[in-house]
Amino acid sequence: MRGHTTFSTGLGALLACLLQGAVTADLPPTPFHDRDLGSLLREHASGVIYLWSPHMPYSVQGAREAREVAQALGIRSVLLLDPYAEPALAGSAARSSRLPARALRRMRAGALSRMGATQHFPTAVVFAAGRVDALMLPGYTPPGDLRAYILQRLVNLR
Amino acid sequence: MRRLLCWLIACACLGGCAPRVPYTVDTEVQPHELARVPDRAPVYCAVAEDAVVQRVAIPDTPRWFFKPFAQRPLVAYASEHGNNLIDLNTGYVIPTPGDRDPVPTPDEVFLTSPGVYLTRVEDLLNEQRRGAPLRLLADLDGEYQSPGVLRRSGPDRDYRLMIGRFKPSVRDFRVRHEAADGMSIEPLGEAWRPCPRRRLHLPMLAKDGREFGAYDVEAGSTRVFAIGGDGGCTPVDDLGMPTGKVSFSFDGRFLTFHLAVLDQASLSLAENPDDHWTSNVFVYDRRTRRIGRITHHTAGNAYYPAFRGDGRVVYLFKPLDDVLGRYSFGVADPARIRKWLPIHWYTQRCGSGDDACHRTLALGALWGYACSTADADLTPRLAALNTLSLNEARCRRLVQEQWMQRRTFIAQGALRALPDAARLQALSVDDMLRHCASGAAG
Repeated sequence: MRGHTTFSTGLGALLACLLQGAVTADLPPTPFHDRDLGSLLREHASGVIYLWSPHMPYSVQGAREAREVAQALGIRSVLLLDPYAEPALAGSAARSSRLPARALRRMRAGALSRMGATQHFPTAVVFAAGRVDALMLPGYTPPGDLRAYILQRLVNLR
Repeated sequence: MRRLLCWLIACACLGGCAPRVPYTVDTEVQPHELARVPDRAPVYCAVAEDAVVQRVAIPDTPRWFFKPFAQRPLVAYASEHGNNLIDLNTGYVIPTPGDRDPVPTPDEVFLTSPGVYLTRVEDLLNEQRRGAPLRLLADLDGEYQSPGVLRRSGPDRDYRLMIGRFKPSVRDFRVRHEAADGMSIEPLGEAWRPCPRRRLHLPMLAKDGREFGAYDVEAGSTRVFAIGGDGGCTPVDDLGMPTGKVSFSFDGRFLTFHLAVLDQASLSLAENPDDHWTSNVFVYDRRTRRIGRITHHTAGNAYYPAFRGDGRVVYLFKPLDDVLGRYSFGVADPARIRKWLPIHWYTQRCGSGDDACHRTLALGALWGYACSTADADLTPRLAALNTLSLNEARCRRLVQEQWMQRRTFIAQGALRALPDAARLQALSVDDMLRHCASGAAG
């Protein structure tokens, strides 16, 4: 068996540390708390909250697609980062997938944690008429199916 | 510039810039590494960590996808640099084909990767024999594959492969092993979708290929479905709550999964009110319909547990305070779990007159209120999950010191919606001590 060579030199590890520091500096300072969820529900008629993690590659792809689906439907999309994601990984995943800087807001809303929304990434949660849907959609869902799901839940919520 | 300097100093001091030698095998797991309990905390706020037997450092940043082998001490995992196998006994890592979702078959003959590709495990472990992976069937594509062994006949096998990031689909195939190391693969029928009318996500096949677990979106719950010979499927088990992806034990009796739970023991130590939610690993006994708790981390997350053939569970662990992002695989033995409680105590409200359920939840709420600053988030379900971490000695101390002053608050707080909540405030210390001594409390 041969050993792994990742970061096998001090220089490589130093570079990784510096990169991590640099990306950390880019992270938005304000996580998404319950009070932000309250504001979202008050200020927007409907939308989809999409939780993603750079540790789950399909969720990175899904985040970009969810944003496009919401845009096409004319509803609000809120991309929230896994509360425990590695900052460096999150930054580079967001950049390479051209996610907006606000996609790096960490999910810290207890209301969403309580329903189990942080148990898997991605997870999509629809909201409308001032309330968050009791159902959630964990796991990657292709755009067409995600669109159909959102429309179905919006009907239910309104 | 100042940030740069800070990082340089941090890297130098914490050893993050030193060459990463991946051969750290820690078999002496220290409970204090796992739970965040301040020096002056009451003794009853500590958590008991009984089931964890091993932790092995991972040399790079893993994706959250890995699967342990049945018998060999190997774990296949996806990392930022591609797929790997890590030997849990030595810490050695071998790169393997693909960059996501490596899954060994339950018989350890193949390592599967999305596409779907098969690589013989024997070839992976023998550098002289490494060759290109075999494409399984040209019309079988997809990810999140989970394999089962349907039938064994000498060296030949019938496998079932479930695929699906969503909408599970299934394909059966036969592998014939021939002379001179050759083999042939033949499909057994077409690919098909079990339960096509249900919206099932995160499907995971049982090791015998006859059942699968998935999150039923409309039910809002993780459920188990039996796959019929005619291709139909029947719901056979319902956990009554959403969970992380499930893994079946090799005999099919147990499921393991992670849950995001409220941290019951961070106390006022938690300077950041946001980190009260951590993921921990649980096991569900389908025969007794009881749930047990594998990890009790308050200072880290334990994710995506999966069974090995020896009944032990492998999970991914990351401490919250490790700024260098180091992960490890934990190995835990469910046989060491001391407390198993009925799952319906967690997923439904206690029935009227169900004293054991009410008292157990009261103990969990008492612990939460006494030890955590996150009491605003406390719900009956979370209170119930707390009790799985409370042993009898700590339970007795907790009751003696806290019950009388908090019982009214509990009855009118987190548990107010329970049918017998009002009766809880009439319970004496002795009543609750008796409950501590019963199996239900620990």
